Amino acid sequence: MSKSSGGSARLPKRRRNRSQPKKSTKSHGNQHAGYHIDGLKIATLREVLDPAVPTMSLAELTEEQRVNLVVSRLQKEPDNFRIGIIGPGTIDKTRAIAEVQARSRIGRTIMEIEQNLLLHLAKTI
Amino acid sequence: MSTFIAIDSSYAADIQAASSYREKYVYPVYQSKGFAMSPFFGPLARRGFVAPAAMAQGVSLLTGAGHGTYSSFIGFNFETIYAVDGYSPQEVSGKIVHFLSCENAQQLGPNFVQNGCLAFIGYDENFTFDPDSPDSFFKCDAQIDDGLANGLKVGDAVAQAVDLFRQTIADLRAQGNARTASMLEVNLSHLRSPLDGSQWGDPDAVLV
Repeated sequence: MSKSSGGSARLPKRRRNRSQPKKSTKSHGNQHAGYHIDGLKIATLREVLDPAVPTMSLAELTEEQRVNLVVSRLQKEPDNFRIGIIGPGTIDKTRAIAEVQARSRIGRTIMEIEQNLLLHLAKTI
Repeated sequence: MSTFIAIDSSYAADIQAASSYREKYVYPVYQSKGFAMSPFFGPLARRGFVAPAAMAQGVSLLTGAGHGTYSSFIGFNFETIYAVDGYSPQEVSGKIVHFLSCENAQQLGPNFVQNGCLAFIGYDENFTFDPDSPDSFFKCDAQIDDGLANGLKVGDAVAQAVDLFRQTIADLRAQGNARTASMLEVNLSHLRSPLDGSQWGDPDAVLV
């Protein structure tokens, strides 16, 4: 897929608000957020938002790529990463990764959260 | 004033957090407005106890926190309290139902409405929360109860809660808690009520 047809190419580049904490912006920019145009290498948010870097946006990814992207994001989380879900209880990092890989209901919920987060970050960074 | 049935199956840590919040902050609001509480907490959150109470005269609301599936609301020790077509219509007819629970707005809620429930409010997928600060999540949902207890129409009570969801999401993002904000936003996207369609009842229903 070409960059010109992808959502990432149309995302406006935004300057960081100087009042925001620099550390936060830095860490967001380095987060895994998409794929390079070859569909093989994961791209950072900074790369996805850079018009000079051909990448595939979230909407262009296959389900397999989205699963792998979320797993790679979770792998970069600290070991004390947790999500609470009424019913399954507290999901730790290891289980979160396993649920996403299994594409279970819990995994789909975690996918939805991560995708929501990425869409938000793409709008605000 | 009428009676509300409060069902909290607090046998697991996640449910304990939600139940504790509701018992501390939500049910007292109803009581302060003159509604009598018929509590079914812990081991009492089982169908054998809840069903007869729900059919009693003067009950206007079923509410509570518990595990859920698309077709059921689950009580103590994984015992199903309500399942699609697994109850007497008299238990829900003429009543408002609000569950802080996963998934059951998808099938159970519309089934309640088909059996005479005035309005169902709940979630059609998993309800997530930050284990380190769950109360901000439960507070957004509890705004529905605040509205109902204060005499708002169901639609207005839900709209008030949606406003709090959105404000809390904005606040979390402003604080740099982007993932926590996304968790809450996903909950909001799965909040179902009569505002989403008549299969969840009447937005003009009022708790009396």
